[in-house]
Amino acid sequence: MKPSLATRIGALKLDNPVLMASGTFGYGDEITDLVSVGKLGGIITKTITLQPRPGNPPPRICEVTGGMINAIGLQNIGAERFLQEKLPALRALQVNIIVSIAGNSVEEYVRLAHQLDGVRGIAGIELNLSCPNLQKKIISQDPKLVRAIVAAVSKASRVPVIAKLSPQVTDIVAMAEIAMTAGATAVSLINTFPAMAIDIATRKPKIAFVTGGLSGPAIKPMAVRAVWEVYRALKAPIIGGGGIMTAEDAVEFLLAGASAVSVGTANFIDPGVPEKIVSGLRSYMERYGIINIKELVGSVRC
Amino acid sequence: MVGPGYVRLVVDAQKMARNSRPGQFFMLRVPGVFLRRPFSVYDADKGRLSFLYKIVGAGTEYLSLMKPGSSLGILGPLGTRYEFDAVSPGTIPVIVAGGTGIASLHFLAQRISQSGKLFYGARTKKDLLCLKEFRARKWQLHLATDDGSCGHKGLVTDMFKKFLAEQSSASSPLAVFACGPKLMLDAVTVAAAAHGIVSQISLESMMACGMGNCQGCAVKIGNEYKMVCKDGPVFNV
Repeated sequence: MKPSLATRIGALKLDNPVLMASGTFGYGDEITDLVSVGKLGGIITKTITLQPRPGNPPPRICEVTGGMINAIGLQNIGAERFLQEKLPALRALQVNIIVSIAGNSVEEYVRLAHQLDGVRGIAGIELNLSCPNLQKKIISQDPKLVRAIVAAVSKASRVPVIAKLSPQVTDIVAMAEIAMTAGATAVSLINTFPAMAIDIATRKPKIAFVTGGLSGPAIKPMAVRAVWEVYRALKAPIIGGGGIMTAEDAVEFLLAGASAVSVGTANFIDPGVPEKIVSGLRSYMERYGIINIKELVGSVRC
Repeated sequence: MVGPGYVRLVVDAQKMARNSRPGQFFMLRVPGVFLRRPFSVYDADKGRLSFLYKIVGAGTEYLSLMKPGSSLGILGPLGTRYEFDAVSPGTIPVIVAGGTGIASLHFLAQRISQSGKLFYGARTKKDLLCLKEFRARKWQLHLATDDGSCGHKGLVTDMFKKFLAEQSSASSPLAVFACGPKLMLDAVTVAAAAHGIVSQISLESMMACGMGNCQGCAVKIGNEYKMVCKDGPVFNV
């Protein structure tokens, strides 16, 4: 029997568990020359905000061992222009589109949710909760805000709402539980880790914003742990991601409890990675006689 | 090796070589480092791509040790090109190069039918590369070195500014192309603008995707952020 990679995130059916992570393929203009996006389980767009944002001053990225640090600053053309100019081309790719949104307040998230509601081609919403709030902490470090935003957006949306959480919290399980009880369909674990690099020749930070988010293979073990902890405690639907470069990496996340995986930084190094992961998952299943990918989810033997 | 610490890397790549234009670059899989690295096309001839680089760290060191016949992951051609098709017959192409900025400008000179003036500055005589190639195409060379071991002792932009000052309304129109350290580019564009000339400059930046997807390589042009990999690397300033 041919292995089935079909899975779901709540009501959202995916042909396979491989998603392209937010912020890693622009608006899809360039990537389609190199990637058969239609073969993926889905794509998560660059985070859009109500108003366009120019992003942070350069330098915005630097490489570190096993990964990179970024402080792009949510540069985006704004919700209006995204819907007019970018969404139509994305729809033509015939792939599940999950739109990532961010705001400075509960109201902004809700307004975005309303703007996206009922728009053809939008299969889900991912909440980017890593923006600094007024207290200078990031939203997903604040339980009250997480609850308020997830509840309000879930109420305003007819599509699945996924809460993307930062790992920089004392208890990721508690945060995930708040998101799920507030109405999230799933949690996306995890966003980048706060990090910093210093140029010892200039004695300045390597990125202008000083700190940024660490991504890439360096964070994979910490991401796998977060997925495992949350799945073990809550058995919630999880999109797992953090340093996935290969199908083997993806399997680790599935075994830890993720129903789907998101591939981000790897796209910069090899745009063909997501497709390779889909076929690699199929090979793994064939090798171990696994009929349905859902058998793997959370099946790590502890 | 084409100089002390300088390497010319030649890669067989029929289609990519054919499609490459001066100013464009490739993202190379460099052994031992995480992200790909951008390298300007130095030449594209007979189905082969050439890149010229200086060994500055682990990545370029490993790259220089790769054996002939090895495979190399390359993604490209990427980015915008130097526009010279519109350079009308009477226009003189002027190239201002600093250090390894000569790489992309060498490719440009190979593809322009007219010969022009090269203003080229580097640390020492040993750091001035591919002079033979420019001379073979009948370019006029104006060289500068920091230590005076060759040509003018000082900045290449001193010579460029002097040249501009000597132009009169009767002189032929100029097309200016520049690549090199940021300070050099600033000096070139300001000096050229004072003579009503828009320069085509090639910028560098730390890059991750090289294609416009990650928005990591932003540079401020005027009031906006542009991406060096997609809106550039060649900009009209």
